[in-house]
Amino acid sequence: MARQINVIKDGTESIFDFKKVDRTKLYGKRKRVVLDEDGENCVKAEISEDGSSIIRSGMTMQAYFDPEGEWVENSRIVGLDEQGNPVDKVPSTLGVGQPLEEVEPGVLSQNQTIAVYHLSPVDFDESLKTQLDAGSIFRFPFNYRADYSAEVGFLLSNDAGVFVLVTKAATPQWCQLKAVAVESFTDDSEIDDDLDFEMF
Amino acid sequence: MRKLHITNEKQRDATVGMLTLKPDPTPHMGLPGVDLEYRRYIGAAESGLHDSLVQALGEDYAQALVDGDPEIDMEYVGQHIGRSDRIYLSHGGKVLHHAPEELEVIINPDGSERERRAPKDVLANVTEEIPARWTGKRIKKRDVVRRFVLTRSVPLQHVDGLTYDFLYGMAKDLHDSDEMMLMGGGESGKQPLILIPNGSPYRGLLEGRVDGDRYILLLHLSNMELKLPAEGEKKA
Repeated sequence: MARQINVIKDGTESIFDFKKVDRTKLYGKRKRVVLDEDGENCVKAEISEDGSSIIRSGMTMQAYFDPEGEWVENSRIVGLDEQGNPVDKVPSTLGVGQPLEEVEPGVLSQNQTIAVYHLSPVDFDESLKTQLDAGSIFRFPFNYRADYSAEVGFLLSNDAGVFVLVTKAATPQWCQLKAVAVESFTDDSEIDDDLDFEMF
Repeated sequence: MRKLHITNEKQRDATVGMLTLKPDPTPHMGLPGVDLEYRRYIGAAESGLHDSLVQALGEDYAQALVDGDPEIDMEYVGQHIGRSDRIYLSHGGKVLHHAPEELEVIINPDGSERERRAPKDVLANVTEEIPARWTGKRIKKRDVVRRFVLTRSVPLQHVDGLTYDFLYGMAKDLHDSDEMMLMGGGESGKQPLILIPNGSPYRGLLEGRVDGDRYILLLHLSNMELKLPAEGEKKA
């Protein structure tokens, strides 16, 4: 059975099937292709720094290595907090009723949206539907698969239907008169990468 | 720090700082008390890739893998990959030593190809000369988040006392009205924002908050509406 998003408001559970919505499905996309002298598509590859190896797609793997250079099995890897202490795994929230909390729009707008799902109601609490139709926005814990941190889901609706926006929490800093933005010559490249809008 | 040239309601312009809004910290992966390095290594030589194995052993090579590990090149597999450079290979697998021809391909929402054309360079329309303009089009915050997917948010910060007053005033106006302001790019000030050359166009929506003499001014960028694909395009 397909997994579902379950939410609970005032003790009543609503259940939804869901489907991802992405930009390509709405607007299509534009991509650049590289052609060789015969007009055929080229293939991206890498060449090692010393020029000795050409690395094609499918030839590389990634893994954790300890200070002695030994490979560390993925099954041993755990989530660690900022102090380096292990944290508990967060189970998937799919199929498990999650409590809804009504929030102001500004709570959603400061978070960074990483996925959008369109919901199809299987069992829709009438009271919840009424509040969503009136413009209410609800927050709930969302975790697609078990890992070490849950994302933040926002449930809302508009004329096109009911949606969940999956987000990463972010906290903007308050600006004060005495703390001005300063020119930095050390981290420009990092910030430039951050502002590569094409990546979206 | 990147800078943004921007106007306020009176079309006064100033150049302010653009910061990065980073997600709150989440757990990182590792082993307690051990400094691990996450790195790439060679998992298969070219002779171990599917096409090479088919050529050497035929389509049905599964048993050969079990019997003799022909896909593993002991001289090569496991090598750490350090720095590398991007290259292009021709369809015949040869390294290209000259700049290749590029084409831009436009793909419809249903996955079909609409057009192939020479790439067009697109200029940024928010620059040192052209500000992001306050269009005067206000939208309630609640309507914005129910209509647009805010792909990215850029905090704006003053660079001196004058720009503090400038940005604080914008933030307070939007805070008090509980609205966001649509920002426009280009000479007309009505186009979606293109912040870098050949960048994607984004709707820019400015949100302000104030608390005493403190402010937050976020330029939200959106390249997606909260809607469903048109009926004929759903099968994509």
